[in-house]
Amino acid sequence: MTERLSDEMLMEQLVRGDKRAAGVLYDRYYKQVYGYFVRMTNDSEISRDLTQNVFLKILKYSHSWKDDKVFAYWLFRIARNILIDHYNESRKFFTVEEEQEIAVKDQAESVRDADMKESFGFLMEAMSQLPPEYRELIELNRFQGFSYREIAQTVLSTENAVKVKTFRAIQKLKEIYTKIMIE
Amino acid sequence: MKKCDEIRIELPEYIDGVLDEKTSAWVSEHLETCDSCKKLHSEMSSFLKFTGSFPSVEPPVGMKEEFMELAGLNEKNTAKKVWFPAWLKIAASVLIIAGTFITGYFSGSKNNEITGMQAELTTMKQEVLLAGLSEYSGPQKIQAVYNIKTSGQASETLVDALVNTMNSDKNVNVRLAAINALSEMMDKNQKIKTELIKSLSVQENPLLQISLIQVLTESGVKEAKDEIESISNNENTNEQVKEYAKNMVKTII
Repeated sequence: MTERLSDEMLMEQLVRGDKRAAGVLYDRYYKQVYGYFVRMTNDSEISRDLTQNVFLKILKYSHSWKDDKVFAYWLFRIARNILIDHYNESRKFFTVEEEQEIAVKDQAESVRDADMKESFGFLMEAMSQLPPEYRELIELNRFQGFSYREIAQTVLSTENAVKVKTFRAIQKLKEIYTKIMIE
Repeated sequence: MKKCDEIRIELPEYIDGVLDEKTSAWVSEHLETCDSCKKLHSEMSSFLKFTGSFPSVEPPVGMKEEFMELAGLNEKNTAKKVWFPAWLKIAASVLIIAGTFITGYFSGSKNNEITGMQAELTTMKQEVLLAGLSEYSGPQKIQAVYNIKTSGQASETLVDALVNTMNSDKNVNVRLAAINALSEMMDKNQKIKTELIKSLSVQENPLLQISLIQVLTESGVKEAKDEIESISNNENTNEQVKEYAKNMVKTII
Protein backbone atom coordinates (compact mmCIF):
# COMPACT_ATOMS: atom_id res chain seq x y z
CA MET A 1 0.00 0.00 0.00
CA THR A 2 2.77 2.40 1.06
CA GLU A 3 4.54 1.67 -2.22
CA ARG A 4 1.73 3.33 -4.17
CA LEU A 5 1.87 6.65 -2.40
CA SER A 6 3.53 9.70 -3.98
CA ASP A 7 6.92 10.83 -2.68
CA GLU A 8 5.33 13.76 -0.95
CA MET A 9 2.69 11.60 0.75
CA LEU A 10 5.46 9.30 1.96
CA MET A 11 7.26 12.29 3.42
CA GLU A 12 4.10 13.23 5.28
CA GLN A 13 3.97 9.70 6.67
CA LEU A 14 7.58 10.00 7.72
CA VAL A 15 6.88 13.28 9.47
CA ARG A 16 4.05 11.56 11.34
CA GLY A 17 6.56 8.98 12.54
CA ASP A 18 6.05 6.13 10.12
CA LYS A 19 9.66 5.23 9.44
CA ARG A 20 8.72 2.59 6.85
CA ALA A 21 8.20 5.45 4.42
CA ALA A 22 11.96 6.11 4.51
CA GLY A 23 12.65 2.64 3.15
CA VAL A 24 10.26 3.16 0.25
CA LEU A 25 11.79 6.53 -0.61
CA TYR A 26 15.22 4.95 -0.40
CA ASP A 27 14.19 2.24 -2.88
CA ARG A 28 12.87 4.86 -5.27
CA TYR A 29 15.85 7.18 -5.29
CA TYR A 30 19.05 5.62 -4.04
CA LYS A 31 20.24 4.54 -7.49
CA GLN A 32 19.70 8.04 -8.87
CA VAL A 33 21.47 9.63 -5.94
CA TYR A 34 24.35 7.15 -6.15
CA GLY A 35 24.65 7.82 -9.90
CA TYR A 36 24.67 11.55 -9.20
CA PHE A 37 27.58 11.20 -6.78
CA VAL A 38 29.51 8.81 -9.01
CA ARG A 39 29.33 11.19 -11.95
CA MET A 40 30.13 14.17 -9.76
CA THR A 41 33.05 12.61 -7.85
CA ASN A 42 34.18 9.74 -10.09
CA ASP A 43 34.65 7.77 -6.87
CA SER A 44 32.40 4.81 -6.13
CA GLU A 45 33.38 4.36 -2.46
CA ILE A 46 32.81 7.99 -1.56
CA SER A 47 29.56 7.94 -3.53
CA ARG A 48 28.31 5.04 -1.45
CA ASP A 49 28.91 6.89 1.81
CA LEU A 50 27.51 10.17 0.53
CA THR A 51 24.36 8.42 -0.71
CA GLN A 52 23.74 6.89 2.72
CA ASN A 53 24.32 10.27 4.27
CA VAL A 54 21.64 11.87 2.07
CA PHE A 55 18.97 9.49 3.27
CA LEU A 56 20.05 9.74 6.88
CA LYS A 57 19.75 13.52 6.55
CA ILE A 58 16.24 13.07 5.18
CA LEU A 59 15.34 11.20 8.33
CA LYS A 60 17.05 13.82 10.43
CA TYR A 61 15.36 16.77 8.76
CA SER A 62 12.01 15.16 8.06
CA HIS A 63 10.47 17.49 10.65
CA SER A 64 11.40 20.47 8.45
CA TRP A 65 9.54 19.02 5.47
CA LYS A 66 6.82 21.29 4.12
CA ASP A 67 4.09 19.81 2.00
CA ASP A 68 4.39 22.49 -0.68
CA LYS A 69 7.78 21.09 -1.69
CA VAL A 70 8.59 18.63 -4.41
CA PHE A 71 10.47 15.77 -2.83
CA ALA A 72 12.92 15.19 -5.72
CA TYR A 73 14.17 18.81 -5.66
CA TRP A 74 14.51 18.71 -1.92
CA LEU A 75 16.39 15.43 -2.14
CA PHE A 76 18.87 16.76 -4.67
CA ARG A 77 19.33 19.94 -2.71
CA ILE A 78 20.37 17.81 0.25
CA ALA A 79 22.62 15.71 -2.01
CA ARG A 80 24.17 18.88 -3.37
CA ASN A 81 24.86 20.29 0.09
CA ILE A 82 26.41 17.02 1.19
CA LEU A 83 28.64 17.06 -1.87
CA ILE A 84 29.73 20.63 -1.16
CA ASP A 85 30.49 19.71 2.47
CA HIS A 86 32.44 16.72 1.29
CA TYR A 87 34.61 18.83 -0.96
CA ASN A 88 35.11 21.40 1.73
CA GLU A 89 36.21 18.71 4.16
CA SER A 90 38.42 16.77 1.81
CA ARG A 91 39.73 19.86 0.06
CA LYS A 92 39.53 17.97 -3.15
CA PHE A 93 37.76 20.38 -5.36
CA PHE A 94 36.54 18.23 -8.19
CA THR A 95 39.98 16.86 -9.00
CA VAL A 96 40.27 13.87 -11.28
CA GLU A 97 40.61 10.79 -9.11
CA GLU A 98 42.53 7.69 -9.98
CA GLU A 99 40.71 5.42 -12.35
CA GLN A 100 38.24 3.24 -10.55
CA GLU A 101 36.10 0.33 -11.48
CA ILE A 102 32.59 1.68 -11.51
CA ALA A 103 29.92 -0.90 -12.14
CA VAL A 104 27.47 0.01 -14.84
CA LYS A 105 24.21 -1.73 -15.40
CA ASP A 106 23.90 -5.03 -17.24
CA GLN A 107 22.77 -3.23 -20.33
CA ALA A 108 26.33 -1.92 -20.67
CA GLU A 109 27.62 -5.45 -20.24
CA SER A 110 25.37 -6.58 -23.01
CA VAL A 111 26.62 -3.83 -25.25
CA ARG A 112 29.21 -6.01 -26.81
CA ASP A 113 30.82 -3.21 -28.62
CA ALA A 114 33.93 -2.45 -26.60
CA ASP A 115 34.22 0.92 -28.31
CA MET A 116 30.94 1.97 -26.77
CA LYS A 117 32.20 1.15 -23.28
CA GLU A 118 35.37 3.03 -24.01
CA SER A 119 33.33 5.99 -25.19
CA PHE A 120 31.41 6.02 -21.91
CA GLY A 121 34.74 6.01 -20.11
CA PHE A 122 35.80 9.02 -22.12
CA LEU A 123 32.52 10.72 -21.32
CA MET A 124 33.08 10.16 -17.60
CA GLU A 125 36.56 11.58 -17.97
CA ALA A 126 35.21 14.58 -19.86
CA MET A 127 32.62 15.09 -17.09
CA SER A 128 35.35 15.10 -14.46
CA GLN A 129 37.21 17.80 -16.36
CA LEU A 130 34.20 20.10 -16.52
CA PRO A 131 34.03 23.03 -14.11
CA PRO A 132 31.90 21.91 -11.12
CA GLU A 133 29.01 24.25 -11.88
CA TYR A 134 28.75 22.94 -15.43
CA ARG A 135 29.12 19.35 -14.31
CA GLU A 136 26.21 19.75 -11.96
CA LEU A 137 24.00 21.22 -14.68
CA ILE A 138 24.84 18.35 -17.03
CA GLU A 139 24.15 15.86 -14.28
CA LEU A 140 20.78 17.33 -13.34
CA ASN A 141 19.60 18.11 -16.87
CA ARG A 142 20.96 15.21 -18.90
CA PHE A 143 21.29 12.37 -16.39
CA GLN A 144 18.57 13.13 -13.85
CA GLY A 145 16.19 14.55 -16.46
CA PHE A 146 15.40 17.75 -14.58
CA SER A 147 13.90 20.62 -16.59
CA TYR A 148 15.51 24.07 -16.40
CA ARG A 149 12.78 25.19 -14.04
CA GLU A 150 13.33 22.19 -11.80
CA ILE A 151 17.09 22.79 -11.79
CA ALA A 152 16.52 26.44 -10.94
CA GLN A 153 14.50 25.35 -7.91
CA THR A 154 17.16 22.86 -6.89
CA VAL A 155 20.21 25.10 -7.21
CA LEU A 156 18.32 28.26 -6.28
CA SER A 157 18.86 30.15 -9.52
CA THR A 158 16.67 31.53 -12.31
CA GLU A 159 15.31 29.45 -15.14
CA ASN A 160 16.94 31.68 -17.74
CA ALA A 161 20.36 31.55 -16.10
CA VAL A 162 20.11 27.77 -15.95
CA LYS A 163 19.12 27.61 -19.63
CA VAL A 164 22.10 29.69 -20.75
CA LYS A 165 24.58 27.89 -18.53
CA THR A 166 23.31 24.43 -19.45
CA PHE A 167 23.80 25.23 -23.13
CA ARG A 168 27.37 26.32 -22.41
CA ALA A 169 27.95 23.26 -20.25
CA ILE A 170 26.85 20.94 -23.07
CA GLN A 171 29.11 22.74 -25.51
CA LYS A 172 32.03 22.54 -23.12
CA LEU A 173 31.45 18.85 -22.43
CA LYS A 174 31.30 18.12 -26.14
CA GLU A 175 34.51 20.06 -26.67
CA ILE A 176 36.40 18.21 -23.90
CA TYR A 177 35.01 14.85 -25.00
CA THR A 178 36.09 15.45 -28.60
CA LYS A 179 39.54 16.47 -27.42
CA ILE A 180 39.89 13.27 -25.36
CA MET A 181 38.72 11.15 -28.31
CA ILE A 182 41.30 12.75 -30.61
CA GLU A 183 44.12 12.28 -28.12
CA MET B 1 23.96 36.76 -35.03
CA LYS B 2 21.90 37.81 -32.06
CA LYS B 3 19.08 35.65 -33.32
CA CYS B 4 21.47 32.72 -33.79
CA ASP B 5 22.57 33.02 -30.15
CA GLU B 6 18.97 33.05 -28.99
CA ILE B 7 18.14 30.04 -31.14
CA ARG B 8 21.17 28.02 -30.01
CA ILE B 9 20.29 28.33 -26.37
CA GLU B 10 16.96 26.70 -27.15
CA LEU B 11 18.57 23.77 -28.97
CA PRO B 12 18.88 21.29 -26.08
CA GLU B 13 15.19 21.58 -25.28
CA TYR B 14 14.34 21.59 -28.98
CA ILE B 15 16.23 18.32 -29.38
CA ASP B 16 14.51 16.89 -26.30
CA GLY B 17 11.15 17.91 -27.79
CA VAL B 18 10.05 19.80 -24.72
CA LEU B 19 9.76 23.30 -26.18
CA ASP B 20 6.35 24.84 -26.51
CA GLU B 21 4.86 24.76 -30.00
CA LYS B 22 5.50 28.40 -30.83
CA THR B 23 9.18 28.40 -29.83
CA SER B 24 9.72 25.06 -31.50
CA ALA B 25 8.31 26.39 -34.79
CA TRP B 26 10.51 29.47 -34.47
CA VAL B 27 13.62 27.28 -34.06
CA SER B 28 12.63 24.98 -36.94
CA GLU B 29 12.10 27.92 -39.21
CA HIS B 30 15.50 29.35 -38.39
CA LEU B 31 17.28 26.01 -38.87
CA GLU B 32 15.87 25.86 -42.40
CA THR B 33 17.71 29.00 -43.35
CA CYS B 34 20.86 29.07 -41.18
CA ASP B 35 23.59 26.60 -42.06
CA SER B 36 25.77 27.17 -39.00
CA CYS B 37 22.88 26.67 -36.57
CA LYS B 38 21.77 23.64 -38.57
CA LYS B 39 25.26 22.17 -38.25
CA LEU B 40 25.33 22.86 -34.52
CA HIS B 41 21.89 21.28 -34.15
CA SER B 42 23.04 18.15 -35.91
CA GLU B 43 26.22 17.82 -33.81
CA MET B 44 24.44 18.55 -30.56
CA SER B 45 21.67 16.15 -31.41
CA SER B 46 24.14 13.26 -31.91
CA PHE B 47 26.05 14.17 -28.77
CA LEU B 48 22.96 14.35 -26.59
CA LYS B 49 21.72 11.08 -28.01
CA PHE B 50 25.05 9.58 -27.00
CA THR B 51 24.96 11.01 -23.46
CA GLY B 52 21.35 9.84 -23.18
CA SER B 53 22.43 6.26 -23.86
CA PHE B 54 24.86 6.30 -20.94
CA PRO B 55 23.96 3.27 -18.81
CA SER B 56 22.82 3.93 -15.28
CA VAL B 57 25.45 3.38 -12.63
CA GLU B 58 24.78 0.30 -10.59
CA PRO B 59 25.14 0.81 -6.82
CA PRO B 60 27.04 -1.79 -4.78
CA VAL B 61 25.03 -4.72 -3.43
CA GLY B 62 23.73 -4.38 0.11
CA MET B 63 23.33 -0.62 0.25
CA LYS B 64 19.68 -0.79 1.25
CA GLU B 65 20.40 -3.19 4.11
CA GLU B 66 23.26 -1.00 5.20
CA PHE B 67 21.01 2.06 5.24
CA MET B 68 18.29 0.27 7.18
CA GLU B 69 20.87 -0.78 9.77
CA LEU B 70 22.33 2.70 10.02
CA ALA B 71 18.92 4.28 10.34
CA GLY B 72 17.79 1.69 12.86
CA LEU B 73 14.92 0.69 10.60
CA ASN B 74 15.75 -2.96 10.26
CA GLU B 75 12.81 -4.71 11.90
CA LYS B 76 13.98 -8.20 11.04
CA ASN B 77 17.22 -7.89 12.90
CA THR B 78 16.96 -6.70 16.45
CA ALA B 79 20.64 -7.18 17.25
CA LYS B 80 22.59 -3.98 16.78
CA LYS B 81 25.28 -4.17 14.18
CA VAL B 82 28.04 -1.79 13.33
CA TRP B 83 28.50 -0.86 9.73
CA PHE B 84 31.99 -1.48 8.36
CA PRO B 85 32.70 0.18 5.01
CA ALA B 86 36.02 0.09 3.14
CA TRP B 87 39.24 -0.08 5.15
CA LEU B 88 40.43 3.44 5.69
CA LYS B 89 36.97 4.90 5.52
CA ILE B 90 35.65 3.08 8.57
CA ALA B 91 36.47 5.92 10.86
CA ALA B 92 36.21 8.84 8.46
CA SER B 93 32.82 8.32 6.90
CA VAL B 94 30.91 6.16 9.33
CA LEU B 95 31.56 8.53 12.16
CA ILE B 96 30.15 11.37 10.15
CA ILE B 97 27.11 9.39 9.08
CA ALA B 98 26.38 7.77 12.43
CA GLY B 99 27.15 11.02 14.19
CA THR B 100 24.88 13.03 11.98
CA PHE B 101 22.00 10.68 12.51
CA ILE B 102 22.39 10.13 16.21
CA THR B 103 23.00 13.82 16.91
CA GLY B 104 20.01 14.69 14.78
CA TYR B 105 17.89 12.14 16.52
CA PHE B 106 18.69 13.53 19.91
CA SER B 107 18.61 17.20 18.95
CA GLY B 108 15.39 17.27 16.93
CA SER B 109 13.20 18.69 19.68
CA LYS B 110 12.82 22.34 20.50
CA ASN B 111 11.58 21.56 23.93
CA ASN B 112 14.11 22.84 26.50
CA GLU B 113 13.09 20.37 29.13
CA ILE B 114 13.61 17.46 26.81
CA THR B 115 16.91 18.97 25.65
CA GLY B 116 18.04 19.19 29.28
CA MET B 117 17.08 15.59 29.93
CA GLN B 118 18.89 14.55 26.79
CA ALA B 119 22.04 16.35 27.92
CA GLU B 120 21.88 14.54 31.23
CA LEU B 121 21.28 11.27 29.48
CA THR B 122 24.24 11.94 27.18
CA THR B 123 26.51 12.58 30.16
CA MET B 124 25.33 9.41 31.84
CA LYS B 125 25.77 7.47 28.65
CA GLN B 126 29.26 8.86 28.28
CA GLU B 127 30.21 7.83 31.80
CA VAL B 128 28.91 4.34 31.24
CA LEU B 129 30.72 4.10 27.94
CA LEU B 130 33.97 5.37 29.38
CA ALA B 131 33.78 2.93 32.26
CA GLY B 132 33.08 0.04 29.97
CA LEU B 133 35.39 0.92 27.14
CA SER B 134 38.10 -1.46 28.21
CA GLU B 135 35.67 -4.36 28.44
CA TYR B 136 34.04 -4.09 25.06
CA SER B 137 34.90 -6.30 22.12
CA GLY B 138 36.02 -4.68 18.81
CA PRO B 139 32.70 -3.84 17.11
CA GLN B 140 31.01 -2.87 20.37
CA LYS B 141 33.92 -0.65 21.20
CA ILE B 142 33.68 1.11 17.86
CA GLN B 143 30.01 1.70 18.53
CA ALA B 144 30.94 3.04 21.96
CA VAL B 145 33.47 5.42 20.45
CA TYR B 146 30.85 6.64 17.97
CA ASN B 147 28.46 7.35 20.79
CA ILE B 148 31.11 9.19 22.77
CA LYS B 149 31.87 11.29 19.75
CA THR B 150 28.27 12.30 19.33
CA SER B 151 28.04 13.61 22.86
CA GLY B 152 29.63 16.84 21.64
CA GLN B 153 31.71 17.30 24.81
CA ALA B 154 35.45 17.01 25.21
CA SER B 155 36.28 16.69 28.90
CA GLU B 156 39.79 15.73 30.04
CA THR B 157 38.57 12.26 31.06
CA LEU B 158 36.99 11.70 27.71
CA VAL B 159 40.05 12.89 25.80
CA ASP B 160 42.35 10.73 27.93
CA ALA B 161 40.19 7.67 27.36
CA LEU B 162 40.14 8.23 23.63
CA VAL B 163 43.89 8.93 23.49
CA ASN B 164 44.52 5.74 25.38
CA THR B 165 42.26 3.84 22.97
CA MET B 166 43.96 5.46 19.97
CA ASN B 167 47.44 4.47 21.15
CA SER B 168 46.95 1.13 22.80
CA ASP B 169 43.83 -0.68 21.63
CA LYS B 170 44.58 -4.03 20.02
CA ASN B 171 41.98 -3.53 17.31
CA VAL B 172 43.06 -1.31 14.40
CA ASN B 173 39.47 -0.35 13.59
CA VAL B 174 38.88 0.80 17.15
CA ARG B 175 42.05 2.88 16.99
CA LEU B 176 40.87 4.39 13.72
CA ALA B 177 37.51 5.26 15.24
CA ALA B 178 39.29 6.91 18.17
CA ILE B 179 41.54 8.94 15.85
CA ASN B 180 38.55 10.26 14.01
CA ALA B 181 36.52 10.90 17.13
CA LEU B 182 39.44 12.95 18.48
CA SER B 183 39.91 14.80 15.22
CA GLU B 184 36.24 15.82 15.31
CA MET B 185 36.78 17.32 18.76
CA MET B 186 40.06 19.02 17.94
CA ASP B 187 38.71 22.53 18.35
CA LYS B 188 37.19 21.76 21.73
CA ASN B 189 40.34 20.78 23.59
CA GLN B 190 43.89 21.95 22.83
CA LYS B 191 45.37 18.74 24.18
CA ILE B 192 43.89 16.72 21.32
CA LYS B 193 46.08 18.31 18.68
CA THR B 194 49.23 17.52 20.67
CA GLU B 195 48.11 13.96 21.32
CA LEU B 196 47.34 13.33 17.66
CA ILE B 197 50.81 14.59 16.70
CA LYS B 198 52.45 12.48 19.41
CA SER B 199 50.53 9.46 18.20
CA LEU B 200 52.27 9.75 14.82
CA SER B 201 55.40 8.37 16.41
CA VAL B 202 53.47 5.70 18.31
CA GLN B 203 51.51 4.13 15.46
CA GLU B 204 53.21 1.50 13.35
CA ASN B 205 50.23 0.33 11.34
CA PRO B 206 50.22 2.06 7.91
CA LEU B 207 46.46 2.59 7.97
CA LEU B 208 46.66 4.39 11.27
CA GLN B 209 49.61 6.45 10.11
CA ILE B 210 47.74 7.48 6.99
CA SER B 211 44.62 8.28 8.98
CA LEU B 212 46.58 10.49 11.38
CA ILE B 213 48.39 12.27 8.57
CA GLN B 214 45.05 12.80 6.87
CA VAL B 215 43.26 14.33 9.85
CA LEU B 216 46.21 16.51 10.80
CA THR B 217 46.90 17.85 7.32
CA GLU B 218 43.25 18.33 6.47
CA SER B 219 42.81 20.34 9.63
CA GLY B 220 45.90 22.35 8.71
CA VAL B 221 47.80 21.56 11.93
CA LYS B 222 51.12 23.30 11.27
CA GLU B 223 52.75 21.79 14.35
CA ALA B 224 52.47 18.35 12.76
CA LYS B 225 54.73 19.26 9.87
CA ASP B 226 58.02 18.10 11.44
CA GLU B 227 56.60 14.81 12.63
CA ILE B 228 55.04 14.04 9.24
CA GLU B 229 58.30 14.90 7.50
CA SER B 230 60.16 12.62 9.85
CA ILE B 231 57.75 9.78 8.94
CA SER B 232 58.30 10.40 5.24
CA ASN B 233 62.10 10.35 5.76
CA ASN B 234 62.16 7.28 7.96
CA GLU B 235 63.52 4.30 6.02
CA ASN B 236 61.36 1.90 8.02
CA THR B 237 58.15 3.59 6.97
CA ASN B 238 55.88 1.77 4.53
CA GLU B 239 56.41 3.10 0.99
CA GLN B 240 52.76 4.12 0.50
CA VAL B 241 52.74 5.96 3.79
CA LYS B 242 55.97 7.71 2.84
CA GLU B 243 54.49 8.83 -0.43
CA TYR B 244 51.28 9.95 1.26
CA ALA B 245 53.16 11.84 3.97
CA LYS B 246 55.33 13.52 1.36
CA ASN B 247 52.33 14.69 -0.62
CA MET B 248 50.18 15.72 2.30
CA VAL B 249 52.88 17.70 4.10
CA LYS B 250 52.91 20.04 1.13
CA THR B 251 49.31 20.99 1.89
CA ILE B 252 50.31 22.44 5.27
CA ILE B 253 51.08 26.09 4.70
